[in-house]
Amino acid sequence: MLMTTTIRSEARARHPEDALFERPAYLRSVRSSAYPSRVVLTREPTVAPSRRRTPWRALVILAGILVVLIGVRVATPGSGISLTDIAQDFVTLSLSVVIESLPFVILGVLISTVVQLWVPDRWFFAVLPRNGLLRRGVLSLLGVLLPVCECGNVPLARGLVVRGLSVPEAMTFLLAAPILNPITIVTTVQAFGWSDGIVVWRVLGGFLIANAVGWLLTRHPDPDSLLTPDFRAACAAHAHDVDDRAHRLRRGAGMVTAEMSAVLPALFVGSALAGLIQVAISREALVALGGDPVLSVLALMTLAFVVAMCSNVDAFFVLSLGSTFSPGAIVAFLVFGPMIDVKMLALMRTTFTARTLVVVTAVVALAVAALGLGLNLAR
Amino acid sequence: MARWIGPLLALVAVVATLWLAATGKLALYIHPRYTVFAVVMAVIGGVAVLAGSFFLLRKDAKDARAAVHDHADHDHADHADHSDAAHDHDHDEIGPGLLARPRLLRSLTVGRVLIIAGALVALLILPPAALTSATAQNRALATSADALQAPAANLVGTDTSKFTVKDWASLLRSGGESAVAGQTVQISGYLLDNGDADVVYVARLMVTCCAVDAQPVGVPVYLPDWKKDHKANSWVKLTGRFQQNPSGSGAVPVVIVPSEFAGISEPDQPYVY
Repeated sequence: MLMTTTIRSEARARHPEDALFERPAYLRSVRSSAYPSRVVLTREPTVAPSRRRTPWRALVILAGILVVLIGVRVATPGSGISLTDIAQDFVTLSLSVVIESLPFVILGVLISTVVQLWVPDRWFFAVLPRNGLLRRGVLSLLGVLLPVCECGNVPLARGLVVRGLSVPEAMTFLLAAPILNPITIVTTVQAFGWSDGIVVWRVLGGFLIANAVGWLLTRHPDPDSLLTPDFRAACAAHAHDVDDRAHRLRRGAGMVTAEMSAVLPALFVGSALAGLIQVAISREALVALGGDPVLSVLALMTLAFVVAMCSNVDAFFVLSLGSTFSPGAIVAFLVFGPMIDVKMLALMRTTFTARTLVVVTAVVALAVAALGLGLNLAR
Repeated sequence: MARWIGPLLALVAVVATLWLAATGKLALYIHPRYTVFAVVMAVIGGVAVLAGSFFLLRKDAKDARAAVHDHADHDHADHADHSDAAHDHDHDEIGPGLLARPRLLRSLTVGRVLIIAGALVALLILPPAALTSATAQNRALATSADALQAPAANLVGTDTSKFTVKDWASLLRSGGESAVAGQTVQISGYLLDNGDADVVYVARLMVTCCAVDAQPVGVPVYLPDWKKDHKANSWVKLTGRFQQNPSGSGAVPVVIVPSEFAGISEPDQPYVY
């Protein structure tokens, strides 16, 4: 018995492809060239017997977790727990943000993984202009191809930075993509038609402000320092294996879990904050300011920050608020909401430093307020 | 912990989403048009996360064995400026910035435990629930004609027996009194106080995307001195007919005068879309 396993494992170790097989994918390129002997070292015969059981153990653990989760849910379908109205509504509101965003986040994570692993550099960077201004302009239109909601854009932007996009470019994409995408534009036209120039100003304003912020960030002496140290380290680590094309499916699965670990906690915290603010702040107080040319702009920007709504549908939401808002206020809501809100800040904090987000939020808020007030005064 | 929080949260949310969809309660949180998308992405995401976790578990098991059998020449705890140190950090989602700050690291771990516990309780233990009417009470009635106008065009001349509160509200807003006068109405909703002693609104929450944007829509019902017998936010069903407002108030020219009116418990599906 011992004999056979020893022989088998040695045979495995000698097969070069198999020696690489067990390594985490991203270590492979480095290790196999720099430390070839070590790869073989870890394939000692004594390891062999337990290795054969490993896939089963992993499967059993996963199946166990899944059964427990499903069991807990099925066992407590209408359990007698009843909360006070406010606590109940906090839970319902937070969950609705989570459940609504989750599919978009999953889609964003999957697209980000595909872009990182399967899109060759020559496609990706060849189509982008060299000139910084044009390049950011093109990137802000990327949302047309990838009509993912803003929460799905965060994992995608992270993937693009890992692929070598600069920080200002990623920020331009993040701010512009939720507005400059076909679904958002269509729903805005459905909601408002072409009257009052709301659609035009939303699209144009979103494009200009996103690119202005992008340009501003290029003025920073060291744009990479705008990223969190942890994300910078992750980028540096990934830089090694960009051109490693082996076992992409397995690496992709690993990337998906790693990205979920980065993004999902932020999504849950952001959603809980959005739910909490909603039960704490009376919406009527904000909506009541609707007609005032100055206050309505600020009120709707605050509302956009608080409700943390998907850009694809926010146009219908403003319509349904039931108050006649000034066009400037509506444009401010429709431009500010997709760029910055509670949930987005929590998500973006996975990637950018708090200071960066404060500056970007302030610049975007000032620019949007100027846009909204300008439209109201020009009428 | 840092590596497992994503897969765990994802599985909790995926199980919750699929269970809600299977029991027909997903619509308590999001508009039904997203059901298919949510279910498909939950399944794909669940499969991807399980696959990723599988490889992660196998790698951990292998590393554990490697650590037992390893010789002193490659110590994993040694985070010297070695190329694989960066890799290990990356994999653990713990960067060099955090390793230098153990207290922050500890509080982050506590935070992660809290997030997972909160997600478990909220998504898998608490019973699913609609927004309570109490919250709805602080949201203004959707009265903007624009909000309700779009679908109203298809309503004229169709079968009115299936009309919801929202359909009647749309018709009333867009077509005015002449569109509804004399029509028989059969609806259910909750009582929304709009500040009138004799006219109460029978309303439902209208959801455009998810429960966050829920906004009451309602139609006026003539019920003299209604506060005496009924409580705001309680659910009712009624049959009646649109007529000129008998109280003569100019603010609400047309109201439903009910012929049958009864209290009910909150329906399983309290929203309109």
